[in-house]
Amino acid sequence: METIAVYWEPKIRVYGLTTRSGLSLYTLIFPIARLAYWGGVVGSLEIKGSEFELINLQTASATTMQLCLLPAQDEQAADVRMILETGAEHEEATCFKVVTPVELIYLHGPHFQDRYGIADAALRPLHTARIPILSAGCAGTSVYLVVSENRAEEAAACLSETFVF
Amino acid sequence: MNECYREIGAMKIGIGGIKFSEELVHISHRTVVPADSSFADLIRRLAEKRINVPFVCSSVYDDAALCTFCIATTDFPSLERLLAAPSTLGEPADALSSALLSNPEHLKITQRVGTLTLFPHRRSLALFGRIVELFGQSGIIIHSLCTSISALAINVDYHALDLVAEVLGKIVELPENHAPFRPEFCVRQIST
Repeated sequence: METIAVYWEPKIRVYGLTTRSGLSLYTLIFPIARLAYWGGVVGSLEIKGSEFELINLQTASATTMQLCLLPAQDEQAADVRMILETGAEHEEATCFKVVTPVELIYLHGPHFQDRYGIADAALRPLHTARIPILSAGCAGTSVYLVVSENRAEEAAACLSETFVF
Repeated sequence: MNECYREIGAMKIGIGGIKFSEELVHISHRTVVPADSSFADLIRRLAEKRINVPFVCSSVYDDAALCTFCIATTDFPSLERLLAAPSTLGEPADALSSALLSNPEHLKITQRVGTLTLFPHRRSLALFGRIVELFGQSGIIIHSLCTSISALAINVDYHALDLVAEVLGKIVELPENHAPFRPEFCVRQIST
């Protein structure tokens, strides 16, 4: 059975846009065979009281994975860096990088997962304005974009072309 | 590894539920930033063709951007046609598609993928870490994973969704009588 409903909006309406600054973005590339090890290392960060804003994990090649971790702003940043950096130093074929400080923009909308054009509406304005996206996550009803220091405000202004906050 | 974390590792973490997606195609794309616009172009062309993209994530390491997205399996023929068709921007007929398809290092397409969405994650690194650790130990292939405001979306083999949910039962506690939600109907936006 097919049901057709009609709804139209000139711009994509979202529940709001939030920015965060002073964050650090950690990226690790490691062998797939070491997935369990890195799961344990990242999980142990919770003991330090850390929470995350964004995590993504992708298959980078036939043998490697790329993990991107954006912890929430907290007092444990030095511990997080030390634990990940030390872990990477002792692992073979593992690369580690920190970009700091970075800024985060996120927005949530109704039924993003059922609608075409949401990813384009989020990525295109920043691409057109030549604002590099350091990391992104669009899943469920959320869009998260990580940009360099002092670029979030400009990025938010660009997003107002395609979204109503 | 921290002993305290090991002790936490012995306890199950309570979650609200698990949801399965419909069958998806998983596409990973590599670009050189910021010069290469092929990923943004591809996403734009998917929007032009009204193809929904329910999952996107990306990260950058040095000059290389790794981007992953999913589309419904039913939309894959449209993507194939799109890659073979001229761009609306008047670029050479198949410059984008040739660049993407001729180099398997730049575009990797995996068929029969499903998203297992687990919620809420409560911004817990322990939950994320234990899931990844468990999958690594169990040999479960994670094609990609991304967090949203409250959920953890994990792309695994579509045929393995039930097995993965069962394995997750070792570390998460679901509400009584909960069974993973499956999509019973499809919502498709057909016009702007």
